[in-house]
Amino acid sequence: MWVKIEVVPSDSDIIFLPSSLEKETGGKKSCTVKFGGKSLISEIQYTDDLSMRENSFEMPGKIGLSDKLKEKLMIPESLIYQVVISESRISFGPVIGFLLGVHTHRYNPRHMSKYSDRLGIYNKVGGLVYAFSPKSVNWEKNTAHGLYYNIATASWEYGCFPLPDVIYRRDFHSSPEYIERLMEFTHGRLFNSYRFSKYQLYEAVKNNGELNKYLPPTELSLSFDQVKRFIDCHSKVILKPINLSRGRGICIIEKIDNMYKITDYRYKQPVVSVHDDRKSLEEFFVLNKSLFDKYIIQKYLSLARVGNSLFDIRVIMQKRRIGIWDCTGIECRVSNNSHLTNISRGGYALTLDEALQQAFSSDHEFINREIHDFCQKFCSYMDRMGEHFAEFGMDIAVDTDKNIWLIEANVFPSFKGFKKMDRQMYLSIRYAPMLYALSLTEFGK
Amino acid sequence: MIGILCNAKRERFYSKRLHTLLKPLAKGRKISVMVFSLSNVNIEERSVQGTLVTGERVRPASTFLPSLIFNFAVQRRRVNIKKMRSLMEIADIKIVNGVNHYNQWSIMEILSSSKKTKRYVLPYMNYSKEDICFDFTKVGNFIVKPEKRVNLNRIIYGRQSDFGFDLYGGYGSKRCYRLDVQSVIHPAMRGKRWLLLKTPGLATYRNRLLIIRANLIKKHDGEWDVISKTIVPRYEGVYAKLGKKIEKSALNIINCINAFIPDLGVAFVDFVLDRYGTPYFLNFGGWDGKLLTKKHKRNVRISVCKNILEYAEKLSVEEPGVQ
Repeated sequence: MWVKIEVVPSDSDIIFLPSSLEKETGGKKSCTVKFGGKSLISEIQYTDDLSMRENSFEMPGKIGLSDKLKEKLMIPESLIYQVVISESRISFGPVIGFLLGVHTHRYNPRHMSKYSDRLGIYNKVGGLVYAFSPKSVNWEKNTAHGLYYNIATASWEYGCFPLPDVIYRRDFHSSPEYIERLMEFTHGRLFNSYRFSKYQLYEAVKNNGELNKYLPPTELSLSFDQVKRFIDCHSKVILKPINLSRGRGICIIEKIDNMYKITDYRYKQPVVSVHDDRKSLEEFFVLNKSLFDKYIIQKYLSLARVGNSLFDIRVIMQKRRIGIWDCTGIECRVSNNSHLTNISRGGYALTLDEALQQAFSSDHEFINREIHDFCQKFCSYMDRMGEHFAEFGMDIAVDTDKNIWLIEANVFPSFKGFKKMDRQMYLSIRYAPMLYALSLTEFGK
Repeated sequence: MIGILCNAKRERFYSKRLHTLLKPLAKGRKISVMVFSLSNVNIEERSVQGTLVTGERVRPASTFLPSLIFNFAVQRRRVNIKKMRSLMEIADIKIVNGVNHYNQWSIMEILSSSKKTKRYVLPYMNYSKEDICFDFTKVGNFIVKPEKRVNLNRIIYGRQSDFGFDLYGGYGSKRCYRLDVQSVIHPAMRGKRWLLLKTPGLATYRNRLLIIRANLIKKHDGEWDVISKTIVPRYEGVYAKLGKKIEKSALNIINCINAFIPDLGVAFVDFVLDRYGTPYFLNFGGWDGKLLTKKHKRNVRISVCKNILEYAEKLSVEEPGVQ
């Protein structure tokens, strides 16, 4: 049931319902009114002045709230809400929160405009969608200061609101204590609750017998001897920083006869150096000690190519509702004649079919199927890790022998390639978490 | 231990000044202050090099990062802004005033969202170099000011007259024909975003726009206190009745902003006044670089230091070892 709120001046907590709703409340004279984390006992008055006919988002009905009750519930007047009425409770909502980081001074309407395209389906969700920082939560009052999306002006505005029914985590620098507290408050409805580092992900997946065959050999980079042994064993390796993404800080080492060729991507322009022997290689690592600090070393995969360029596959897996994962987008990221396929590093996007056809010309249907199958298994496995996930950007590689490999799974992926390649797909990816959030509330059932 | 993060050039100044001020205050309290700049912070190792100020002496030292840091610095270089953000993301370190320069447009949006503070906000709009043909006679009296930083010298007040506009800037006033206003404003903008405020007739003083600054500190119990009200840039006092009005307005404003930016501990609010003495919001900032200088009275400087010590005591931070 879609409604708009009409504010009625009064000193008491009163909700004014159309007489047609008297049946649903059982004719009660008072009940609990709920909005997000706020619940209040309120008097009910039935009136013929309010109507519920032709109820839709475009033609919402009207429910009156006394100004005192409106203030207490902290419910913005300009929005369109869904209402669920039972005999004991009237709930307005949904209240969906974007959990931002700790840099409160940065969160202004201009910053929030990048979230606006997610609200393209506001007519299916409705309610209050607001962004807040864990720092601006008032735990005594169960409220948060933040910015809400005002559908009437299509802009983000500051305000104070009750804590949300569902929280979509958009930053991963907040203290785990805050997250735990919010998780508890929302009864587990805080999704994307944790972000794995590259190595944590490897450690988690390697324990699964069905999935670990998709992992390339990987170790934590700890000492020169260990790294040297790894290079000698696999001939070509890649060193990746645990906590960085988009190809930042990587280094590729290739053993050619007794020489070592290093391509260092930590600089603006890749630096190539050749080391004749072990001593020279050791000197390189002595000068670059950071490669033993929060770095992993991984076997370099001999990836399939589109023309002369390497490519990998970004699969977006998103939850439709609890336990149901869907692949909402696949793109192939083709490198710009370098080892990096990231769009942010000059790569470009192709559809999976286009890329597989160009790479293998025929017999690529089963790769497609295997990728989907693997991603489903992966997501189901991650659901058993004790965290609440609803979105993964999975980077998959296909080698020249048509084997597939999991390179990375990111809970905070970027969709730049999709935006350029297929705007409709991009938007449906952006909408999916909103619909999932709705499905977790009483308004989505 | 309390940390004071400042710009490298000011490290010596703050160490000396804090030593003088803390000497009588720190008696009987086992509290030391580490003054350091961002370049001497090692986030990975959680260590810092700087100047250690105790009640007895001032000396260079190397310690663990204090768990309570007051930021007196403004970071302008991108690399320092990034480093500051990383510092703010460390879970067990509390930074007071993580940022000291605020986007004035955001602040005005915040103030406009609250019933209590809306009345202090003059009608405003974004003004950029594209508005070269903007007709100022449509707004009447106006203020233009940079959106990002607080710089009193770059605020221009235009008072409409029969001739055109009387423009009051940081360096005095000048009379200007209405079509020549842009030729004064646009060079000062340097291609940046500015804000245009529609104002009533505002009070001027000594050939400049009259600006009153209220300096505030957040006490350890979370309540804000106005420690000074002065006419800037000369830091002259204001008479009691006006002072009370400014104090009330400043407290309303800071309480509203603090709800959205909770890590504030020291701040200032600038006001302009109309002919009837009604205060209107002009600027907001964090740490005021002049607060510990002799421009302010000694009791103001002492109350800042006292507050820092009380903060530290309240948080009862563990005393890390000094190397």
